[in-house]
Amino acid sequence: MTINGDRQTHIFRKLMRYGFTLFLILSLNFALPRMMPGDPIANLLGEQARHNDPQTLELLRAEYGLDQPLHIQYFRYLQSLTRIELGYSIHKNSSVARLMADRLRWTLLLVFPSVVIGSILALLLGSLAGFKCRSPTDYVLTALFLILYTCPSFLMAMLLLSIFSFHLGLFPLGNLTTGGTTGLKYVLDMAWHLILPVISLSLLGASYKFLVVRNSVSQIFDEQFVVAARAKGLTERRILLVHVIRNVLPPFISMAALSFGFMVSGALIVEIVFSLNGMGTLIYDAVMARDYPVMQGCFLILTVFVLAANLAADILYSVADPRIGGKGT
Amino acid sequence: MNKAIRIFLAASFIFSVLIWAVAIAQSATIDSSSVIDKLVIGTTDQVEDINVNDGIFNTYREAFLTKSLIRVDPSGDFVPSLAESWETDDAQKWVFHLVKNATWHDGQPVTAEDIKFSLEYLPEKLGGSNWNIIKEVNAPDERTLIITLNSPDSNFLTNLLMLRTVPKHVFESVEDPKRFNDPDSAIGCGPYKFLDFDPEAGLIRFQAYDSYFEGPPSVKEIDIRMFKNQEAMMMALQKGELDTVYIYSGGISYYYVPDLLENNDLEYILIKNSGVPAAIWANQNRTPFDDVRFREAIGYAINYEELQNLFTAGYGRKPNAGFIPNGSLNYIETRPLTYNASLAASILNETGLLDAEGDGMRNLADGSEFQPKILVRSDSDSVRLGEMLKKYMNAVRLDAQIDVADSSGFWNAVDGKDYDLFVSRTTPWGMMMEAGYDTGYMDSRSNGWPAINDASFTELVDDLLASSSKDETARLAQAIQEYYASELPAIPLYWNDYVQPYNKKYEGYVVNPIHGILSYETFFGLHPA
Repeated sequence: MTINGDRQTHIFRKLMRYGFTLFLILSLNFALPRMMPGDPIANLLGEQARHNDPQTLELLRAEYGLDQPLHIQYFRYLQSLTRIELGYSIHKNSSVARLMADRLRWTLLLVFPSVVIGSILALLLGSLAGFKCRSPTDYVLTALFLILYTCPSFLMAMLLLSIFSFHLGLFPLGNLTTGGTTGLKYVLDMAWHLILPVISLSLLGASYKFLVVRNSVSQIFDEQFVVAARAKGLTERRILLVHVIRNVLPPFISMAALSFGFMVSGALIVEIVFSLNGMGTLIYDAVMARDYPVMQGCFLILTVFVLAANLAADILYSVADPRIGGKGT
Repeated sequence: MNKAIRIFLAASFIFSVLIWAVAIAQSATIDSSSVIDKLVIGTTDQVEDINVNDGIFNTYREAFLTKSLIRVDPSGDFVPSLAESWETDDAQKWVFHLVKNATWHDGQPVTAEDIKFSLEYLPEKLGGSNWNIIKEVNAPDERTLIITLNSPDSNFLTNLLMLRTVPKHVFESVEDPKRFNDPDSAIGCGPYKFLDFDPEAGLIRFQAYDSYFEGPPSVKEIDIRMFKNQEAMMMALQKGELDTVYIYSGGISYYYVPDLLENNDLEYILIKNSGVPAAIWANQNRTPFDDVRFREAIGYAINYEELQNLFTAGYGRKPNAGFIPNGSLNYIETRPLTYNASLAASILNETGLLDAEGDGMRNLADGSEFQPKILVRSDSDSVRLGEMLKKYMNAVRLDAQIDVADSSGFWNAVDGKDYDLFVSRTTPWGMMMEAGYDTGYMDSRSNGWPAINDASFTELVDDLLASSSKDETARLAQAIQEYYASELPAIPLYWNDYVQPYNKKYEGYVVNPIHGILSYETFFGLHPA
């Protein structure tokens, strides 16, 4: 079999494995919310309605199909997934698809640039720190990113809000827009609202990737092939950009893929600090209220994104390192 | 008439007209200067959608958009609203006479048929225990409404405070109001009409309804700005972006008071909380929690002064055993709850809870292990309170354990009576449920948190419901408080005042027992300072 054939078989096997994993996770998504103590309908009616209203409780249970045995509920759940029907939220008076579309849009606008900026920052500064290992540049950068890495996300977000919004008045105190604007003004207003949350998430995301890249680069510089490259007379810059970075890419791709995959789970703490309506708060609220349809919908989209990102990482691995996916792997 | 008289009369007439014109001008000047164009209120309560099933939006629906038959004034008395008068002979059949000039925000008149529809449609579609007591509703003409109850209920008007009237002509074609998020769902008959809801901006706006039957309010627009945390909300208040803040059944954290005192633009009102901010409830279906002496011992084991200092920052009071906070209607002084660990230990000894195994902790009377569990909610101050209660109980050699649950798990356990002790607050509205005086929480026919199995208590509640005079109600309310004080079904941990901050540029905030500063009197009386 040719190398290309081996790679196709490798990707096909991966796809099969991912398909099975998807089914397994979807089943868990059904089971886990129902294993938690608490009743979504009782939550819906509130503490003062529970004892006098058993009939309403039963009617509402029937409306959401919660009066059926678990295996029937599971079968209906799988059926609805094949029709891509996510159902209706028990608590938020809206369809799950509409809720998720609203929240996903804002979450992607918030988290996607943060992951990209954070990853680029980590790759560039981590490579620089690794390249100039044990130099003042390395010490300063490593110390800075260690501080960021150990800083809790709520503290970082609250500090940014307090300094730049409250004391300096440069940014708004929260929310996604001011309201009442359209066209270009709306876009600029939205960007103004998103700057601090994106900075906060970018710095937090960059901090741990920086440390991995920095350590990888500094280790690879001690490898024999770098010595050989130096002996051939290649410049340090060329060694870094062509030979070292390429070897750092697999672990970096792995981290970046995970970040992209979990992107749709939102950023709960940052959403709360900056009063943003994202997937993080949607999932949190759904778990707190035992809103099964919303939980299932959110976990479904999260599963798909994480698996897709991992699959993409697997494929990119084999591009970055031709030995992966070849014969014998 | 001679010329001099004619000149005098003409001059008098011109002078009178001038005086009248000046008076009108002055009055117009006063009126326009007392109008507030926009009041911006911050909150951490989150509206999901403009739906009759959205709990938080319903708070604003009650305060701004709709009117019930009656409302309460700042002193807690029932006063006319959509009903200009009402009568009942037996507290079972209630007759209401509606005002003539009330209209919905789309201009349609409010009729008795609308109220009848609201009383039948909303419970049928959304549930709600408040309305199970209604046997039938009749609207013999456009202005008369007759409500007949299953049994006499002198506290029925309290239930009506929660009636969110909806227009029949809008909702009669709506099969499932839980899925009706159209702006028409916010059409009401209150002093404000719904303007818009922008979830991205976290902003809901209400505009004064000029044709409101009691006249237009002095605040022309009310904007509600939502924050997901109190810190950002307080920053916005400090920067002057907000005029005041609102949290249903609560105030801001006491942590922010020093900042308020330092800011010359801000002031605050102290609102006496007619609910109990924290209490420990015992499950009387279990032993030894069914023993009043055991509950009494727990009562003496608690250091109320320490709790008051730790949790209310000086804005609290040590509670009495009668549970109902001082300042409430028909409040009586009952035994003050005091800390006396040695007395607690002595009472526990008398109940037979002794250290049979010699491990330093008490066992049950039969010698078996005893670890009372304190159920607390993870999303409130209850966890800290639970830690303190555990410390106090350990000090009298009760091996108390804390059982932390999230909101759903917590209420699931409380509903299923699967707890020994739990910590929870009561809200001002909750204190008014059923027969009032906390009976909605206490009576096993309602929430029944402490699972009281005592016919004498049930009889007291029934008598209170059937009471037809103020004197009789006061006597029974006192008897209820004395019952709480002697039986201790729940032990209040402290009473408190809410801190309600506001920007000093406007004054005239008036507090309502149900919705705090979102009161009729605030909307009509707020004015620039």
